[in-house]
Amino acid sequence: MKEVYLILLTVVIAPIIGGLLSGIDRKITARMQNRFGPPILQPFYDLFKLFSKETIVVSNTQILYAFLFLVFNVVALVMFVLKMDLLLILFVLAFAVTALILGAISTNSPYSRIGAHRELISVLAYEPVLIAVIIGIYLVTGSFKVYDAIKYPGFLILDLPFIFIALTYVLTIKLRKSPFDLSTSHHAHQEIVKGITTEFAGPVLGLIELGHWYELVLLLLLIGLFFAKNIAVAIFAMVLCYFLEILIDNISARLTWRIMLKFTWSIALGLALVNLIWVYIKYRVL
Amino acid sequence: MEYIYLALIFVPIIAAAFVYLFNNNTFRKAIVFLMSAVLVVLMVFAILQGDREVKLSHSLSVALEYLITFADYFLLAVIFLIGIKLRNNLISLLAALQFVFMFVFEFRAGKLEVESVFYVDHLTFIMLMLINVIGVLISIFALSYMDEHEKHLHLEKSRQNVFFGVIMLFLGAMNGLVLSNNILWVYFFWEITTLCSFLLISHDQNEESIKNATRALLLNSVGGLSFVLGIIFMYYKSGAISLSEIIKSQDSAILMIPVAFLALAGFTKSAQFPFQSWLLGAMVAPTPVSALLHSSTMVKAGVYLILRLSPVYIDTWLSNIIAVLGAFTFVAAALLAIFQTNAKRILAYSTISNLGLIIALSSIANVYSIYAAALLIILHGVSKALLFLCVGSIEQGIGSRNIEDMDGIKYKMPLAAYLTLLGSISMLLLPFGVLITKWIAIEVSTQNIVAMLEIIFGSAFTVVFWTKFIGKILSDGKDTKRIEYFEALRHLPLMAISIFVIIVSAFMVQFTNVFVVPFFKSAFARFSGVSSRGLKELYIKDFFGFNPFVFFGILVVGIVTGVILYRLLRPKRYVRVYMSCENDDNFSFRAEKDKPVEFEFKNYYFDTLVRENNITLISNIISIALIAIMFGVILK
Repeated sequence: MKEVYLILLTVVIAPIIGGLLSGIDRKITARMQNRFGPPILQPFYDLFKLFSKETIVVSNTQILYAFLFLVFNVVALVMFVLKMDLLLILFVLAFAVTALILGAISTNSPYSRIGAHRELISVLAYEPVLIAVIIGIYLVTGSFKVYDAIKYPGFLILDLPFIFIALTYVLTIKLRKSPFDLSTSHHAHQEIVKGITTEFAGPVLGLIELGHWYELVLLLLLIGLFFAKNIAVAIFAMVLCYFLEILIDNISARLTWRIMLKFTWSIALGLALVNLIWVYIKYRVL
Repeated sequence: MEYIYLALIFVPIIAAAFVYLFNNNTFRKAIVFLMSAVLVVLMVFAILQGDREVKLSHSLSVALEYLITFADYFLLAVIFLIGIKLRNNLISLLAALQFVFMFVFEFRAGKLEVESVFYVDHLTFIMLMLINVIGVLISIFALSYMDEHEKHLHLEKSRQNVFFGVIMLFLGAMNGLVLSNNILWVYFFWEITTLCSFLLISHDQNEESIKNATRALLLNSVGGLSFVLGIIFMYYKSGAISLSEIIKSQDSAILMIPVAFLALAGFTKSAQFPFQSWLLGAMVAPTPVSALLHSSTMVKAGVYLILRLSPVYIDTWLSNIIAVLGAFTFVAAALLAIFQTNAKRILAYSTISNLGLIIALSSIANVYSIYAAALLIILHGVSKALLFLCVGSIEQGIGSRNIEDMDGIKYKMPLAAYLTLLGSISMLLLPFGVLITKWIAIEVSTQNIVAMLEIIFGSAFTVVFWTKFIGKILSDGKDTKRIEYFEALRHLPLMAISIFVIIVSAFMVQFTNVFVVPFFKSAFARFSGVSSRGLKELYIKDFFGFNPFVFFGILVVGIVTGVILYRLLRPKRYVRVYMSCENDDNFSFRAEKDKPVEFEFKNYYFDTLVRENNITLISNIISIALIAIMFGVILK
């Protein structure tokens, strides 16, 4: 019964937090650009407005894909809150992206298809790093479960500093922020056509927006896992990381997918790998 | 009851002879249906018999011994002659070497009798189910497919008698391969499958098919020679020539060299890098052949042998290297699949990749990896059969196997398209089982850091190429005219296989408990290292808290909610795609003087980043190096 309450609580609270965070993001971004910026509650107004609009689509199946994107993100977050297997959570998160990509490909629009394929390249870039992060956690805690990572007596960050850097690196790709906002420009501040979400509109786009909020919360929780020993430290780390993401988003221009792939596979994966090897030797060999 | 096992081998072979001799369409169909029914019934009886080692009466056993020895030399002679006819000296040389080695060995070793002729355990059951259910369904599908195929070719005289004869012989040989205890018999059936695949690939008798069939024969002959060497080393190292003895052998260290040779034979048959080219070439054959080779026969023989031998070599250096080799094929084939536009090539690389994963799982010393290996043999067989048959139907329908031509296929051939979708989703997403095996692979591979890295990358590549594939199947196209018509003989096997795809995934846990756990317990009983988690724990209710029914439940709830949501959000207005308001319709834009110009958007294939040939070359070099390392480690 306790689990049911927990699930309900997560499903209700997560989008509120996610929405607030993106409101804060917009405010900070505006201040960095010397603008006043919208109110912090603006994302919610936007969302309600989207849902009040008429449903306009190019193809029927788009609604299903947008819905699946939302559902898989919710499921992944719920699984995290229920402290289940990290790898499985990662797979479910990958399904969410797959649904979004399929939704974009399903219409014959060149813009959304280009966005979809760029998103695929992003998957190619961050997926190995994310799995490496989880394997790093496994090598230290001896378990893939979120439960055991939280119960771990020390700070995971002390054993996995490089892996943590790699994680924050791919977080930029996963949140589709500059310099890696290839598939869709964040808040349309560089381009008018919005890549992967070009063909989504009204309530259907609302579903995707909502899905993003759940995704954001989940990714920040993943960051928090490295500091799970102390909740205050964890929250501080999450806030700091999010601020850094916003900062990087505002000071960098977009890179091409080739550079992204090259950088992610060499720098992020390289860091993760070095960390994995020393953890492997420390906990498995010695 | 030993006649059940004999019948499983000889019924298809006798049926093959009938089909070959009487080239009559109705008669052939009758025989195929009859044989299918008989095989399924026999298989069920064989499974009901349980695990056993079967002895035959002395005279029958001796007669079979002579028959198979004679047939073996005859077979090698045939391959030798084919080599001469194809003017490929290497094939003839390899056949001759096998002939000479075998002859000298049998002459010097003298009596090589094995008391128990058949060794039947739960791994055999898994293979029997695959061969006699999926294999049989593919043959039934072929009945309708080949009629149309020959119509396209405008043959004067139907060659279907040869085709179906060989397919039945193939099924019989596969049954023999998985039932036999005497490794010499296994080798004999192994060689029959090599010959059958040669005949099937070259079926159309054009230049390309003969070239590719020749390559298949050549590479598999390398495997055959390796097999012979494995047998000879096995005999001189341990005196054993029966599988049951080899598996129970107490001293695994001295068996390393023969096992390495047998594993190499398995690599060739399962088209592992660097031997992958024959399976890619095999696509020139009619689709049922590809379906058969990729799902229930040929390539599964290789992984069967490796999984069968895993109790002998597991938890040694050899097993570590085999795991790295298998995982390497997993990642390299998945990477190459991203570059493909040809649907069949995508499926072929995905098969090679999955077989690599099975081999890696077979050689990681962990309870769950053996589970996953045995499961993946079935799951992959069922899904791939479905995918190949669907893609074959689509190819006959639209006249192309290029996925770029498949825009709008969901309107043109809805059934084939949605079944393809089911097949590809079952290879990629939950609640279907293939993902579970990938998950287990990542979890268990933490013991072997190199294999682990390979599996991580392979996993990401897999997502990319399947998403591209599924995206194409689901995308809109300009042409929406329906060209599919319902043909019972073709669609019933397709539907049956689709139902199996769902059933096998839904009852995965039960399947594991009934078939995989007993295999594990009997084969790995003496290994404390592997079973250290305790045999009690083997009766897990689910995989790490994963319960397929829960996920199927979520899926059903999700679909219902989706439908309700669709009702709520039912689109009031359909619009054109966004093209800066310069589009004529969804498929063209307004150019000069408002003249509509059609545009084209193709998937990314990364060919500007790296050349596919370079990746193939590098992969081949690395895999050859790894094989060299494998032999280097074990030879003392």
